[in-house]
Parts: sequence; C-alpha cells; structure tokens
Amino acid sequence: MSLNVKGEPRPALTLLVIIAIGIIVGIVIRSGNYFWLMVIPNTFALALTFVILFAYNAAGSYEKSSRKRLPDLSVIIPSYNSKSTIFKTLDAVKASKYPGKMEVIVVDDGSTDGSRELLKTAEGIRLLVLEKNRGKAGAINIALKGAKGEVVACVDSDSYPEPDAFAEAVSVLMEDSGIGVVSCFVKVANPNNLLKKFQEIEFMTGFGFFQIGVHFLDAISVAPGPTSIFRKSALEKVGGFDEHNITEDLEIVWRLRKNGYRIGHTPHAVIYTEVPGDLGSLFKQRIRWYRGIFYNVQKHADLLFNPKYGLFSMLVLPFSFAGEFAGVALSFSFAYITLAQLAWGAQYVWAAFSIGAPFSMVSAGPGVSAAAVVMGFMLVCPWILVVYLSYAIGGRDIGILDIPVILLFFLFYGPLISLFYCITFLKEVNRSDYTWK
Amino acid sequence: MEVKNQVLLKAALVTIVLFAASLYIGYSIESQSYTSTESKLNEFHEELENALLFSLFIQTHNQTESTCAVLRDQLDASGQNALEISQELEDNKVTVFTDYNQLRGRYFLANMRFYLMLREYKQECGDQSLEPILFFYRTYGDCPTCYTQGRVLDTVRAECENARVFAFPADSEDLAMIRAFKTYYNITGTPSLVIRDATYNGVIETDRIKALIGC
Repeated sequence: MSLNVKGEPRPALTLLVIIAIGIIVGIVIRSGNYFWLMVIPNTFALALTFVILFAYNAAGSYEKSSRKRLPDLSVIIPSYNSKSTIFKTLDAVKASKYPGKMEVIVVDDGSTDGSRELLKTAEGIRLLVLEKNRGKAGAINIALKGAKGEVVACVDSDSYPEPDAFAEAVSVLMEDSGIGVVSCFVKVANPNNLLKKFQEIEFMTGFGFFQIGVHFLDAISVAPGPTSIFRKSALEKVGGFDEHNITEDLEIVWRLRKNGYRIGHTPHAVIYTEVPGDLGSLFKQRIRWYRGIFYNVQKHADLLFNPKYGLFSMLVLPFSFAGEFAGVALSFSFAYITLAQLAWGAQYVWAAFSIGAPFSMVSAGPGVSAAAVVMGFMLVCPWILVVYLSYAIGGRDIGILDIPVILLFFLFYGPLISLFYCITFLKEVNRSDYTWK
Repeated sequence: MEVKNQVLLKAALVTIVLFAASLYIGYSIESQSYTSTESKLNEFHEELENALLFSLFIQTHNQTESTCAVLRDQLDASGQNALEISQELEDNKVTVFTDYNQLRGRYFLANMRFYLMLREYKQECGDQSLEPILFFYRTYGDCPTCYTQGRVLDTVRAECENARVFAFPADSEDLAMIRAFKTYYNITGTPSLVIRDATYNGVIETDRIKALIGC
C-alpha cells in the first residue's frame, strides 16, 4: 500500500534541535550523574508494567467461544503487490471454521506485480479492482460499501488467521453491542531469523500480555492492522477509515472511542503475520507506526488526559506518547556514551601502541554507581516476569535456546526501538513527508 | 472499591515499595563503601602522623639504623594503604548518594604529605633505595594518554621494588598544594612525570622510566 502526505521540511530547525539535544545530553552525562535522568522515566515505565501485571491477574482467563451461530461476516483483504503472500492468506481465510455465512472480498489496490491477474482466477472470492492505488484505508472503505456482513474482518494480505480466529473474535463482538472492534492476538509467522525472533517476543508481550491487561482496563489503543474484527454499523457510523492516515488501525480505534464504542479483545483469536526480516524494512515500518502516534495525537488532541475516555486517555495514551520522548533521550545518551568511548579507546590504543605499552581491558570510561546497578536490577526483575507470562500466553515454553535471544532482545532490540523513536521525533520536527509503504 | 482502582492502587504501592527498597539498598551499599574508604583514609592520616613523629625524632635525636628501619616499615605500610584508597576512590568515581570529592581532596593532600615525608626520609636516613615518581594526570575519561601512562606506571611498580608512584590530578585547581607542585615542577600538560626533580611531559615508556629510576 502506498500513501504519501507531503510535509514541509525544516532541515535548519531539525539540525538546531539535534545540536541542542546533543549539548543538553552531553552536559548531563559529563556532570557524571545521569542516574536520575535514567531512573525517573524507567520508574514510570515500571509503574505501568505493574498496572498491566495486576490488570492481567485481575482479568482472569478468557473463555473460548461456544456459540453455534454467528452473524454474517465479510472478510475484506486489501492487496497491493502481494503476489507472494495473498494466496496463503486466502487459503487460511477459506480454512476458517466460521459458524455463519462468510464472504471474502479482495480489493486489488492497483497492483503491478501480476497478482491481480492471478486473483482473477481465484475461486470463492469477490474481487474488486482499483486501477489506481488508494492505500489500505481507501481499499477497505471501497469494499465496505458492498460488504453484506453485519461484521467485517479486515485482514492484511500477508496475515494468516487460525481456523477458529474469526469465530472467537466475532463471539466477543456479539457479547456487547457497545463493542465496535475486537482486537486479535497477532503472532509472528515464520520467525526464521534473529530480527524476526525479536519481533516475536515483542508481539507476544505487546499483543499477548499487554493487550490483555490493557483490555481489562478498557484502554486498548490499537486494533492490530494484520486482522481486526469490526461491527460494520460502527465503521459506517464513524465514516470508515481515514484515507489520509499512516496508521489507520490506530486512528480508527481512537475515533470509535470518541463515538462511544468500546474495544474488545480475545487472545483465542490468533493471527499469524509476516514481519520485516531486515533492518531497512523494520525501520520503514516502525517510523510509520511511531509517526502515526504523533500524527494522531495532533489530530485527536482532545483525547489526551480527558477523563471522559477513562484510563485510555489518562494512562495508556500519555504513556505511549511520553515513551517516544524517552526514546529520544535514551538514543542521544547511548550515542554520546558510545562515541565518547570509541574516541577515548582510539586515543588510548594509539598512545599505548606508539610506546609499546601493555594494553589493559579495564575501562576508564564513564563509571556506573552501585545505586544504579541495584536500581537497574530492580527494574529488570518485573520484566523477566512479563516475558515469562508472554511466552505462556503465546503457548510457548522458554527453551534453553530462547534465553540468549531474550537477553539480546533487551540488550539490542530495546536500544534499536529507542533509536527509531528518536528518528521519528526528528522527522516530526522536520515535518518530513508521511509515507505508508 | 472498583477492581480497576484496586489494580492502580496495588501497582502504585508495589512501585513505591520497589523504588524505595532499591534506593535504600543502593544508599546502604554506597554509604558502607564510603565509610570504609573514610576509615582507611583516617588510618592513613594516623600512619602519616606516626611517620612524622619518627621523622621529628630522627631529626632531633640523630638518626639510628633502628629508627630509620621502623620509619621505612611505617612508610611501606602507608604506601600500601594509599594504593588501596586510590583504588577505592577510582571505583567510586560515580556515586549518587555520597560525595567523594571531599575524601579525594583529603587523600591528595595526605598523599602529598606522604611524598614529602618520603623525600625527607631519604635525606635523613640516607636511603637511596626508594625512588618517588610524581605523576600528574587529568581525569582519565578526558585523557586516554594519562590512562596509558597509568598502566605503564603499574608495570613499573610491579617490576621495580624501589618505585613509589604518587599520582595527582593536574586539573584539581582547587587544591593549592597541587597548584604549587605544578608551578614548582613546571607542569604544563598531562600526562607528566617528575623523576629525581626532572619533569617529563607526554607518555614515557616503561624501559625509559626504569632506566631513570635505576631499576
């Protein structure tokens, strides 16, 4: 899918902001005591983690659906140049054990990879062809007009629902007429390299553990893009998806909330989705996701700290937004310390080499206080529990080979995500173009 | 109370308890370490006081071989203590709840006193088997070459029984004695060494230092 919204680049201002943040972080680090700078945001994150842990505990177990009959379902699959995955998606959708009528609408959104021609021969689907690419939201909106079901499942063309996923999610939707959308448990399909394994852990904690806790607090902020189940009347009432939004799956949930709808969730509706397998693709995806928060906070500023919308407005949304700024501070600190250490190391090695002095592996760089070590340990402990629970929710045992991956996840993936937050912030300052790709 | 509020309350309580507990543990560890260094520094001061009395005794009562030997033992013990204190000060260069700057200041003054007493001892007792080396550095984080010189001096100290290294931060301008030393020995950069009253700027390799101190 592609969507481009032109920005108004401000490179001079962006450069000034980079320099200003660099100087501030440099001063704080050189003062030798950045303990509080690291501890205070991490303690807030710890508080949120405990909120979710207790909410998860209070939520109890989710019952599996026992409904014999469910309303008509329209499965909408927007497809753009997805020749390599769309047919696997269709196979998974067609294999659904749905106790009711189900139609499958595929919207070819101006594909140029030959998938359109192949889709024309596919059986059991209704194919809508768009000559010009309109983006995912536009494609869904077109299909929505002709959808016959009372319920709509929006499925990405690289996502594969388990056979009972639709039945489980629609059952939850039918429990309460106030629910506008049900979020599913998204898992990573084919985690066959380290980057995908990191995302697998991230998805298990995010869409598995956290989503259950946040659901209990009625504060879900996103209906996962790979597959979410909507009440068609709710979508129609709010005017469908925003076609000029880079994170339409986030925005639609916020708009549904503003229109009085609640967000449901079930971990029994499992969807597997393809995830970026290389850093470049992950970078593009995450910049879009994180810029989406900035974009939509500006669009729906009235949602921030508005008691009318409960803990979603008072807790989850502010934390998500603040997290992006924390990422900026952490990235700059990490970059500063790394560059300072490298410069120091190069000079030390050169000096030692030039006089034939013995090398020492003892570091003389920035030290760490005992208090920081204790505090770091205390902050990490609850996360060990979170990962353990997430694996359990994901139906996975933590094997011996998972332990190094989990450690690397915390050591490298966390800073990488902070870096993405940082770039997002700078792109927002620069007012770079928004792209959905 | 509504279940959601209970969740929030529990989370707040656990966070506060965990936060307070970790702060308390961190504070206790730092305080303990600070107290230990402070006590070693007090001991170092006492040893120097003793050494000073011996030195005065030698000056007023003509030195004897036995009093010089006792003073030498006293100075050797102080040297070991000084090394341990300097290591602890280095280990605690970043702290949150304790301020080591005052201890550092006291240590450097005591170490200068130690250096001067060692020279006095050499003169009074005629013992040429000890070679004090003055080492001026800047905070290691800012001066990788100082770190290199420090490692070289570690090697010299390990290989030469007669070497006694006295390290001082050249950037501690608030200590008047350090300023006086720098002026006297014409220390203009770091790292710098003073061996037998001659000043050497820049990094000096192990063999050259060994040759200069007759090791």
